[in-house]
Amino acid sequence: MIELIGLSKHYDTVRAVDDVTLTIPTGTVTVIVGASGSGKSTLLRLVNGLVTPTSGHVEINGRDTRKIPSHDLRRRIGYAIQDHGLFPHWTAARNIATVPDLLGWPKARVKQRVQELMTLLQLDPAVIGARYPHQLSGGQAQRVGVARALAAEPELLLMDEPFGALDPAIRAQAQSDLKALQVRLGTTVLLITHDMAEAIFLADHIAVMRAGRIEQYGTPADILARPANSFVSGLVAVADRPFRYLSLFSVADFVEDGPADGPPIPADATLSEALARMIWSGQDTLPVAGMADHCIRRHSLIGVAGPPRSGAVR
Amino acid sequence: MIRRISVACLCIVVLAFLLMPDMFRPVLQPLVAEGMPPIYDRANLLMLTLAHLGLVVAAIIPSAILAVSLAIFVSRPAGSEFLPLSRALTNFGQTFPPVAVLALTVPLLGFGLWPTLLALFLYGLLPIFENTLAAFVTLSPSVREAAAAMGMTPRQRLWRVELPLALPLILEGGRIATIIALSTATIGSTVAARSLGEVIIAGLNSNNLAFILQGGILTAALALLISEVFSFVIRRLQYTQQAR
Amino acid sequence: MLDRLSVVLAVPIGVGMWLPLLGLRANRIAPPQPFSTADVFGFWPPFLILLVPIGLIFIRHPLIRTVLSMAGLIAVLISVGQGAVQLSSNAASFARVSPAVGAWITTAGFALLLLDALTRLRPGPMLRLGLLSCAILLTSLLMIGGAWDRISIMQEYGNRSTLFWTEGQRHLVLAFGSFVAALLAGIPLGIACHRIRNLRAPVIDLLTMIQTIPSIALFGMLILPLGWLAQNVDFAKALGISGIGTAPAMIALFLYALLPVVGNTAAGLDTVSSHVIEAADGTGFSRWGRLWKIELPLAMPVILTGARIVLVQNIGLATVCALIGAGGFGSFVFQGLGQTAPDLILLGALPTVALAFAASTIFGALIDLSKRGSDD
Repeated sequence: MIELIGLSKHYDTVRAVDDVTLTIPTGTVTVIVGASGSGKSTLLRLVNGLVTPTSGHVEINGRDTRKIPSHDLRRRIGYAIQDHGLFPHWTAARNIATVPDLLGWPKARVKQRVQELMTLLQLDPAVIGARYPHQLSGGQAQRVGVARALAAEPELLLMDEPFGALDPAIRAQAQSDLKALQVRLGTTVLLITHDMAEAIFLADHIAVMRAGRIEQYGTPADILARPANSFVSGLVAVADRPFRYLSLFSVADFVEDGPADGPPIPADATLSEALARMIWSGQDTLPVAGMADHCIRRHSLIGVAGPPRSGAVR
Repeated sequence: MIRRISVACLCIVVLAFLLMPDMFRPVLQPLVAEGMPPIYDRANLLMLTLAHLGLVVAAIIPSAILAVSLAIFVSRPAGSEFLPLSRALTNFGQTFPPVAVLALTVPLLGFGLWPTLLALFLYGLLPIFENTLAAFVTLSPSVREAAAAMGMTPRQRLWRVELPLALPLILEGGRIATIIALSTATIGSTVAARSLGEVIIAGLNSNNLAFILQGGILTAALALLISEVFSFVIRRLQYTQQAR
Repeated sequence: MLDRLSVVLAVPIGVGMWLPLLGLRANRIAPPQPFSTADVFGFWPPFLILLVPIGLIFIRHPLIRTVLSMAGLIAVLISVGQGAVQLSSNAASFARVSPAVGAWITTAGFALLLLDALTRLRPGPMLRLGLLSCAILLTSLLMIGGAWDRISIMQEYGNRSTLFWTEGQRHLVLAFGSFVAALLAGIPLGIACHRIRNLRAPVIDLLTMIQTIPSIALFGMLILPLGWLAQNVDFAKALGISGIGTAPAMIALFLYALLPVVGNTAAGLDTVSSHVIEAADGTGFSRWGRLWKIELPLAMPVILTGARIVLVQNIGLATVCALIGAGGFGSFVFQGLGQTAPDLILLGALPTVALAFAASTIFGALIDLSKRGSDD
């Protein structure tokens, strides 16, 4: 468990981060959303000591990080940034091996770990491993950056707009890959982004930040359903908020008894996909793949998507 | 390719001239009046060339070590107070003509090897210091941040990231410093330092065109070859780290 | 908090104050007899001067620092001159007084303090030009007023004042003549390099190669073709071209000057963004109109930077031209070297340095002014 306790950072008169307290449960993804200048980057850098707090401190599993030498602390915290910050004079493999090398792992173990991570991130060790950063595509460089951050099995992974430099076309894939990787490794992640959709997709918990303070903290469902103030509801783009909310649930959760015609929808599709299909084809019900005599009904979905009422959200 | 071949040819001609100058006697003979020697005869040309190179190396190596150390010092938090002055001083120093540096060291150290060595050393500091500092300053902020965030100590950041990435620019500074030093060393002959400038000055004094030409071409060839070696190494290094 | 830079500089100034300020020699080449500031003026003047760097350790305000270090510098310079007057009044008429190691160290120390204070002050271009004018004015007044007349360098000057100005004029003609020629030829060539892709690499490579050749070597290599021209072409002879003297010097300086001019012109034009070019074309500029009214003005700061490098470089290199009989301040330097006369060397070297420094400052201010124009 990572705890940020009363963290503040003041530059002259500007309060970049103002008394932030936040708990990041082990094995979960916490996303901080905010515009540029909201203090989210400073907050992230306070966690691994790249920025020294004016007041407050960070605890990792109950241990005050101020008592750990900063370079030791940082070796235990992974760090991935927007333009990847790969060392241009080292190959991809050597970049990934940075922290294990600093920790003095035996050569064989470092090599094995690099191979393992590259395979996990779909980077061919034989081909990509020997390349220099300038020979990598944007997506490859981003994955090498993530692999480097994960190399020494960190207790916490900090990510600063990790997909910011990617084309929109490959960004969605990179986000899914990260989510799958996080589920598989169970890493604790603190990620910052300005993109609410990204936050909703990735997060277990979202903290919305403005002017150095946390405006709202909660699960994605909380944030979408009960934005704490007009600033947060502005961030959760008003027009498609119901759809985003529906996208949090899967068809399997809302299956009802009853027949339906037409091509079936997969059980792991989201409710927003199901609703879109029904509106497009003019159907009130859809069959669910692999579940005979079960269907999903339009009016039930509309009940979910409205403003929260008692019993509407399970 | 053409470049490499011409460099190789130049190298062979220079070596041939230094090892067997008499072979070139017929070429140079028409340039001199009857009875004048066409090949410099007051010293062995090979020895002069080696002395010239030795002078440059002896000045530039300590100069590079000091310049890089100073640049490291002023770019650390501990030395930041000295950064503005050192920059201003570098700008100011470069308005000092190399000849003036040489001329001003003579009143201090007298004639001979030492004033030349000191002048070459002092003048070599500027381009190397300037380039090293420029390399540190222009290092990509995300690389700098990544190095800190990976848990490198300040010393590890310097040795593993900053210096290797600065190397091409440092070497470019070294190239400029060496070229200037080669040139200033020729003028060092006017204060009795041993160098190829001796041949040219002897030619100017005795109106011997052959001396002027062989001294001139040898010095120029030496400068071009050394510059080419530096450029070659710099290009190789940059190849592995183009995206900065 | 203490100013560590002042601490570091106060030490050499403090030491320099007790080292010999002046050397008295019985004649031009006799060994010098040392006198420290205290020997000449007593204990209090050097002590008062030393208070300046000690005070600066505790003062951070840049304007006060500037004024104080300037005062310190002037005090040292005047005490050198006045000390020489006092020493020579008791000595024989052949005696020479020259600045000794203490004078150089304290002058350098105060100059560094002043440079640092000015850097922290961040003066704008107009203020820098103003300060330069003040410095020139003050130096001229002190010289005309005879503050340094008893110093040996000034005595060397007194012995050859006419020659000094003649050589100075030659120096300027060499440096500025080749500078103007390089601008006239280099800017069009730079424009061509910018427009014609295939021209750039070979031209820049060739010019880099020329810059690599040591100056005496280049002079030497020019002597042969120019000598041939003078012997075989009447027109060249009529122009006064010969293998030795002004012609090879001018040509060599011109050749050295081309790289910065051509390179910076091309690089400066590169910095003009394609949007600006498109907008100019859209507004209906002709190709030449666009070059004159849009591209060149925007490239001006970079071109001027090249011009500054060239001018400073030419002023320095013109010194070497004395070796092939082209005159200039270098002739004093090399005569001085030949006669083992340090004062004569300084008579050639100091004006060269001052000239290069003034040119660099003026061009630096011009560059900032041209940038300011493009910011608005």
